[in-house]
Amino acid sequence: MTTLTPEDVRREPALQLAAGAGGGWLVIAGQELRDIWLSARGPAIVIGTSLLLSLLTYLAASNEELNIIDQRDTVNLLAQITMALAVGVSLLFTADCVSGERERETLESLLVTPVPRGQVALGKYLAAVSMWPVLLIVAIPYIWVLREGEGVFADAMLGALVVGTLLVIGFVSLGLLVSIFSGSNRLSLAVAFFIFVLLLAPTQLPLGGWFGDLITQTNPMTAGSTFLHRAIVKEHGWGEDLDLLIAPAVWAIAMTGVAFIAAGRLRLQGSFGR
Amino acid sequence: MIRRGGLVALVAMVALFAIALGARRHAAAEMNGAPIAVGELTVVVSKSNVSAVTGDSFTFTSEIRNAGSEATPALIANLAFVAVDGGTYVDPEDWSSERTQAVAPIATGATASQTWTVKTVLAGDVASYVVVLPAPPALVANSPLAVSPAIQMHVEKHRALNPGGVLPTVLIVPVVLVMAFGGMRVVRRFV
Amino acid sequence: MAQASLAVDGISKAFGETRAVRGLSLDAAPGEVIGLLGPNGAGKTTAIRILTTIYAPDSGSFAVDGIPYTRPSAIRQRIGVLPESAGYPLHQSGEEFVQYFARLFGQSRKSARETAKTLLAEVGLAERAASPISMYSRGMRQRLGVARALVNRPRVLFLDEPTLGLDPAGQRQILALISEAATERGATVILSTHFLDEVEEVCSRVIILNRGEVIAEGPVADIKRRAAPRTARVRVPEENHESALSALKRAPGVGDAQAVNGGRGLISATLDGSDTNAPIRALLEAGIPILFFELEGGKLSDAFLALTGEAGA
Repeated sequence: MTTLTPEDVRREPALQLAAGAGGGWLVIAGQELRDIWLSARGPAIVIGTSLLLSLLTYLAASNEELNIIDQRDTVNLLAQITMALAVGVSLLFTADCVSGERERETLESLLVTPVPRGQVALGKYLAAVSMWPVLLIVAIPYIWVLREGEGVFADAMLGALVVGTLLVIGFVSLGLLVSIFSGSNRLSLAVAFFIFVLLLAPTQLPLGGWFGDLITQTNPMTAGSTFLHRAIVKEHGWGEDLDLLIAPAVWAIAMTGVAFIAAGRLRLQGSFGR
Repeated sequence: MIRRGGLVALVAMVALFAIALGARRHAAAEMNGAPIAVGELTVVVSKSNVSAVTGDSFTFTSEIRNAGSEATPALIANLAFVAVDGGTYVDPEDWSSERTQAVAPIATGATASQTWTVKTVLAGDVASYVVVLPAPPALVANSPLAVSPAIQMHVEKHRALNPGGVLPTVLIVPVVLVMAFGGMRVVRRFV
Repeated sequence: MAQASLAVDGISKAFGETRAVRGLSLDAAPGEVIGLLGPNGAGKTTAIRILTTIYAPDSGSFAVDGIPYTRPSAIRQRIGVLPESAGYPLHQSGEEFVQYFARLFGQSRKSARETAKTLLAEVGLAERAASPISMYSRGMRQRLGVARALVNRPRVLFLDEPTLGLDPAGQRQILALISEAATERGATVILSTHFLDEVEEVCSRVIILNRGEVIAEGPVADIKRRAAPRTARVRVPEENHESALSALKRAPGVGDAQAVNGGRGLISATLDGSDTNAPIRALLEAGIPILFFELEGGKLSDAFLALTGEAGA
């Protein structure tokens, strides 16, 4: 048996470089981006979204029932739908990113590279987030043609950018977190999607009273949705409803922090649902 | 809100092929009919018949004249709608976003004018009229009302292939995306 | 002894109540191919996962190329791994796949491209480099896995069941690659396998694990000799049974002789040394005709079965 001395350790030859030291996340993000955007997945989602927005835009402009709604309402509708789609899709991407690799038996090969676990997670995280700016860009022409009146386009784009970014960051982190601990991809997708629906549902419900206010303020989805509604439809100035951005911001920061702490403990096997 | 939007989207999908737009209306230019006197106020409106299509808007004016010997108290003018074909559901809020106007006291022999905007939301025959009543505190249970003659609106469903000029956008964006992603795949295959 | 490229000192790992690996120790020199044998559940894969930094050992320590196990990232720079159940991104081409891993090991785009080209040629996949992995056979995927494991010129190469599910031709290709990695690249190879003939063919040493413990370790020849002394089975006419037993028990080079299953005419003789002709010579000298003669044992598989207690299984 060879005895290792500190001298032996110092004798270590220079490392090849880099990937392990800092650039691995970039390589992984690049590969993941290619997997999303050069395969059918990303394009199909974007084209599907554009078809949905086309349909809604046409109906909004043509149907007499919809003419009841103020144009600002229609713009708000498109912005919110784009945002909800981006959040849902990005969430599903990260919910698959670790547990999916486990299931496809490709995770072990990745874990024996010198890229630190946190960087593996970061690369996948960034690729999943890429869906959001693309969908927002796709929504631009629709919101542009439906805009009417001063500042509605700017209100919608800026509001969606801020609220959507916070929500996407939070939910992508949630997906990553669930995926890190989930032993099965199906479980990971189910748990992540369930939480998404649970938080999205109150935006579809009439909320009133102190409890309604509490939900609106504390649920990042309802808070973000209400903020966007007030900015676009009610023409509120940004300073008026800044409190509604607290929940999405806290959600984004907290989930990201927790997810990346967990990513450092990424294991070959999941903790539950094996 | 997504909630309202979702409901709207649902309704919109049901009415997928109901296409409407455009503007065709013919309205009378002169003041409408004989004034109806209630108490000493008379109300007249600037239109008597309107033919329009769904989604169209028009404006008209009402004039409240005080024929009495005393100035009126402060008044409230309200625009009302009623379906006269028996089949059209009319939600007044949808037809006019500003249906109530405050009118300052009118001196004897003087008139006050109001401008109203109406949006023809649904196809059908609908009548609209202006009701004037005293504002509180002069308003009491048996305060007399003054009502204008009705404006007869005949609204037809409008169909258009390019509502609001959105057709190019809704067609071009998906096509451009399909071409862009398809192009990327083709280029990648040959590079 | 030269600096061991792999030095393992009493590593152990338990999962709950199950002790998967108990006190595994070994030293491996550059260019050495070590076979890791054991029945299912013996702890081979767990041992490899500890040594490849997937699992942390509960106790003990190890070092790869002088790097202690407490620096897993540095160890990963020096090892190549083909996991037992290696999945592949089926939409990628073989070339993209190897390039990707080369880049994860810090190579530039250009260098990664060259590495992929070289390695794919070495494993015989040059012509299929641009094909999607979904079009590869299992044997091709395993060779691709070996190519990927070599992207960083590893000092130690861990191969967990690399020939599982391959046809004989595929097995031969993988074994040739393993030998090349050891002889030409000077890599230490730890080969976990169920196929004992593979171990005999390419391994210089073997470690046999059973229920997490090392039950035998050493050069293949030693293991065979220690665990499975050769025996000879002979059949003689029934009337010669007793005289044959006596002749064999007296013969030099024959340790013992017994009737098999109490039958008459069938005798099992244990050989003391390497003279496999000793029983034949003894019987011929006694004038006893031999109806049947067969040598048993002396193969690694016999040693393996004897050591792991699976002979009767």
